[in-house]
Amino acid sequence: MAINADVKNQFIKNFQNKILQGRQLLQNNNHRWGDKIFTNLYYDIEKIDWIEDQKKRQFIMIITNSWWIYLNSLISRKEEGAKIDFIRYIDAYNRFFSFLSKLDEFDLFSNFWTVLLKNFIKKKELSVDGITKFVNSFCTIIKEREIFLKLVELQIILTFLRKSVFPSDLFRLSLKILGEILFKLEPSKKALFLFVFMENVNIEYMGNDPEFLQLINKSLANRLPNYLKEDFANMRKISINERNFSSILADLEEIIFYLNDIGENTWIIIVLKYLFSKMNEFQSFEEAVIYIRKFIDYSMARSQFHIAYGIYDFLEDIFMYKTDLGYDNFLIELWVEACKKFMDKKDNKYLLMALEKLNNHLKNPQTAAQIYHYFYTCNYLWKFKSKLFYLDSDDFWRMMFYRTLYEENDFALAEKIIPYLDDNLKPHLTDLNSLYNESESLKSITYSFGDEFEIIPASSLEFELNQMILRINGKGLVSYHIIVDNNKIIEGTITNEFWNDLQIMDIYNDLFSGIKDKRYKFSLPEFGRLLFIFLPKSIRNFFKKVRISSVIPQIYLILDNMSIPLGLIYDDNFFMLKYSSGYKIGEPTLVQTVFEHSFADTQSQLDQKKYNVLLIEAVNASGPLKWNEVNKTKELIYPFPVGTEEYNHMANYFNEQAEINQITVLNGFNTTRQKILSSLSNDPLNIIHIVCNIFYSELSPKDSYLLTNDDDLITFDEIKSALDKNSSNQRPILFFNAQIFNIGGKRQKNVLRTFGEIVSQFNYDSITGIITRNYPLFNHETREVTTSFYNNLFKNYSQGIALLNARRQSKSGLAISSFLLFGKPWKKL
Amino acid sequence: MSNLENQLRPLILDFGSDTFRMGWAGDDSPTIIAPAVYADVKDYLFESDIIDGLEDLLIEEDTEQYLFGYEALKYQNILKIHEFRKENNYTILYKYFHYYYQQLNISPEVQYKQPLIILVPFFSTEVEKNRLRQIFFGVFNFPELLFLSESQAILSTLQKTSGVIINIGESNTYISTIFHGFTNIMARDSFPIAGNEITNYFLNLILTRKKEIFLEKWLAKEIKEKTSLCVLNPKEEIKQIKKGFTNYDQIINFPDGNSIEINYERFMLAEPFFDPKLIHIDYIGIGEAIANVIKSWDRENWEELIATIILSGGGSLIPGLKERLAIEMTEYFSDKIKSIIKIIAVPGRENMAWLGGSVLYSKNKLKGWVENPKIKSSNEQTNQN
Repeated sequence: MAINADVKNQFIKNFQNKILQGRQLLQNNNHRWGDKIFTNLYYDIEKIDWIEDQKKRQFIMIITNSWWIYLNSLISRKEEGAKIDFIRYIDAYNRFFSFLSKLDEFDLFSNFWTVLLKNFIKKKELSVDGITKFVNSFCTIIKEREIFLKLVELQIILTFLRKSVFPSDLFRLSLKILGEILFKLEPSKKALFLFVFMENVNIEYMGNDPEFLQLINKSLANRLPNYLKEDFANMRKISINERNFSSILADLEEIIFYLNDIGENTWIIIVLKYLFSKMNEFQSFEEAVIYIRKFIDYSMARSQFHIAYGIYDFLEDIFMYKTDLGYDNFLIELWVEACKKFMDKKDNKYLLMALEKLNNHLKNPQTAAQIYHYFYTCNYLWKFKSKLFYLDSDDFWRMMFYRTLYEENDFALAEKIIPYLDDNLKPHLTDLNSLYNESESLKSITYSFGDEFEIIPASSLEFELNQMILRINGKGLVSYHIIVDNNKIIEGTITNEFWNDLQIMDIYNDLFSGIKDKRYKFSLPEFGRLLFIFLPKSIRNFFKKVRISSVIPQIYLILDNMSIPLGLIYDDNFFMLKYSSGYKIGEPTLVQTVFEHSFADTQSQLDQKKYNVLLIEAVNASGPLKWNEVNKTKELIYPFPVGTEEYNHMANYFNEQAEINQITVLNGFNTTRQKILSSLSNDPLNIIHIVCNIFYSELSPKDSYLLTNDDDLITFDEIKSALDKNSSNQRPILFFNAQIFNIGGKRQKNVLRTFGEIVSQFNYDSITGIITRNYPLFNHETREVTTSFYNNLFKNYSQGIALLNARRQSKSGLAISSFLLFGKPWKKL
Repeated sequence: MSNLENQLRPLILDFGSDTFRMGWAGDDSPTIIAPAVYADVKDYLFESDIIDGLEDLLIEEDTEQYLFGYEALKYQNILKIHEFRKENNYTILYKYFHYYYQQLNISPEVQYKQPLIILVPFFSTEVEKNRLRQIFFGVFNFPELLFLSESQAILSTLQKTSGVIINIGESNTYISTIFHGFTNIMARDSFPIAGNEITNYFLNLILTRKKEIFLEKWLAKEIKEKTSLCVLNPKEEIKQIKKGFTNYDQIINFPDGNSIEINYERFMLAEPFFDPKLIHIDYIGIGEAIANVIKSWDRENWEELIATIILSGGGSLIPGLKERLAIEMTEYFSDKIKSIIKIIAVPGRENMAWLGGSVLYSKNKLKGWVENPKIKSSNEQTNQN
């Protein structure tokens, strides 16, 4: 999207002016006009489509902060001895809340509201009427948004603050919600869960008031519905102390896993927070942190990003409490880690939130070590942001400074970059040599994600480059296809960074424009050098190893959006200009495209072909389980009885086929994560037939997973990587005989779109194809279609033809329409 | 005079619908001049239905519920500003008076011991006077009260006994005449256009020019006071403006950084006085109305009256109004007497009525005091005892 830089600058200038004006108006008691400026500004931002989401968020945060600063200034006047001007304070808060309620992002509203609530709680005398209205008006909003956990918490707090129940629909609803979650738990865990819930509310809002439980019990005594009476009575008997903590810990862990199994993930965070506070109390802070951190991976693997984010947020609070306000490596690394984890997800929401947190902490480095850490992190920040097409020149120059000074040791160029860095950094950057020298010892101890890799392994020092194709697609994904030493092909994709060349473009335009007063003071070789340094590290390192001898390399740069003259890249050895040329190929046309024809092979050829099969049964027939309060028993959460039949049928079928060379079966307790991954990555497989439950992650489809029978999971991303690792080069066909749920455990009826998203990441050149079921229909007829498909495949028809033939042979319309093929239909086994 | 004696002088009160004036009789100007407005600290301009209960949680119980005058106007962009005279709200009038009375710093021993002079227009009703009596006698227990006609007061400032008084206030404009100290109930009129209507019309004119502007009445009033004009021939001036005449151009900057340029609006706003149909009021122009009032007297008295046409009240402050009125008046009188038409507009005419009261007091010309019946009866009782 090419938007004139002048338009952007004008907008930003105007934005800044309006913010100043709005702040001034508020300070001058003119809420009406100040509010109007801020609200209109917000609408303007939302209307403009060339502002990236990340930037929009930043703009909105500036407006939000303006209100916040003003509100705090009203309070701070009180500290100076003056009375708070409550008229202004109330009006400002009302307008602020109204502004927040307009934003898409509810978290902001919720946070600011909660801060105010906690302030009220600290007051000695509280208007009962006021607090009731205050809490219930917010509860009405969260009820509409279905944030039920918070609703229950707030109703409990309200009851505590009032010292009595305020009978309302909200209160009844919250008891109902509490009842519903308790109903799902098994009897022995109910009271404990309730106890933890209440204690957590106490810790969170009341700062652990010793009389909380007692008072709540008293207030609720005659107001509890029958279905909660017993649980509350049992809860009163619970006490947790250092002696019984280890057994409680086991129980609570079980509750966490159980809540996850039954799809009640939102409740997990409270148990975690409670566990943390108790571990901190009875064991140690470090142990508590380590313990809670392991649930980050646990929830990431299950696409429960809100929990993972919640834990990061919680940890931030704890660390902030422990440290001073200076440059804090700990907090920065915490959020860098979060960004890294959220980076490759389809949904950017959590990445944006984590980036903002990171930005908040990443400032004012003082010592040389901090400066190294700062720029090192800025380099990561750039990589994270590059995905968002986010265009901030400050980010760009910090990243470039890091790469120039610390990666390329180019002191002269680093010196020339300094003018483009923030003013408050400049005083620390006077002696680059010593900065660099000090960083040497830090390099090995600074955090890293191990995501840097070498295109050519370090062992092969000498090679000759024949051809290199560097492809940058419209989404900024960089992939390469390299031929070295005449025949060796190396292929790959850069996954930790995206191509985002807006700043480089800006410099280029400036350099080659006729304007005399140039904004950037770089010569042409320096620009080439910048361009080189701008490349991802792996590609830079590759270029450094290229030795030009007898062969003249051909370097092709293929871009969807031809913008940069990459030929100007200068890496001290040669201008690529000498060897390269750039192309724009765009989308290939479908007109006159000829698909490969397939012919049945001769009988003798067929006789020679034998296939290896991996048959996996993961129908979760022994767990996970949930408590059924009505029958007072435990039952399967994801029952798939026909799955077992399907599996038996396929096992018999494969055993009878002469074409099968070897069949590996994983069923029952053999279906473990470890065994499946090992088989996928090591065995030479032609057919992988999996009967399982699939869980679709909307926020990150590639992280959709299947549950193994050892109560673990394997994501599709892992299946793909395992197959990529497999060196047997057999190009297997994958058959998923599966029912599909979302990660909340809700069964998905029509999976045409969802499954498409799940498998879109597979490399369809390294597998034959993927077959799945469109909807959960498993009967005799569908089994016949399945076997008939395999029969045709064994006759060496292409997979498309095989499926077509299988469909023709069946009489049931429903059965034949339930199969989907992903991949190139002309491919054969 | 000792300080205490000084504080026992009568107080002159003028409850205008726009401005409240209070001060000591005999002084040159009122001690207190304040906008006649109030605000309720729980009555916000911005009514949020998002989060409730903040008022209950934050406003302490002993906080005053109302703000008055300038104190209220400080919050004009936060609270709703009410005008208690227009609302006929006597409960507030009582509190408002009490608030400003306290600001006079009267010694405790002479508090509420002053006689009061209350300025009233001729159309003020007996009901209204009764309400005021109830408040000042019944509630505050002041000893004596006098209702003084504004017209009489205004005339006395100019040391005249005959004249036409045109008092343009915020919500009322009246034309009254006094001839050698006598009034004539036929020879007076309540003209339907006052400052309020003019402000509204001005607001309309601005909004017609630029619809997307956000402008509330308080701001319009302020702009009006700063920019208004009255010209002799508005049609001609508009023609000039269309030809490119820029003398009337004025840029108005709004708090949010927006601005508009106005020109003909500056003088068009006064036109409803001369043609009330512009704002859909079926009435004659002010010139004709004045002429009619004068003509209610006998023919031989006209000359004396038209030589003393007194403009007073805040609404008469529009520059040029005096000259324009003189021209308008000529249409209704014969050539013989039109030459002696004289409009008097003295500086400080917004406080003219109050000042008149003070002058009359100094000359000892105030008659018609009413004693507080409560005090009277108790005095009588004491005497009897």
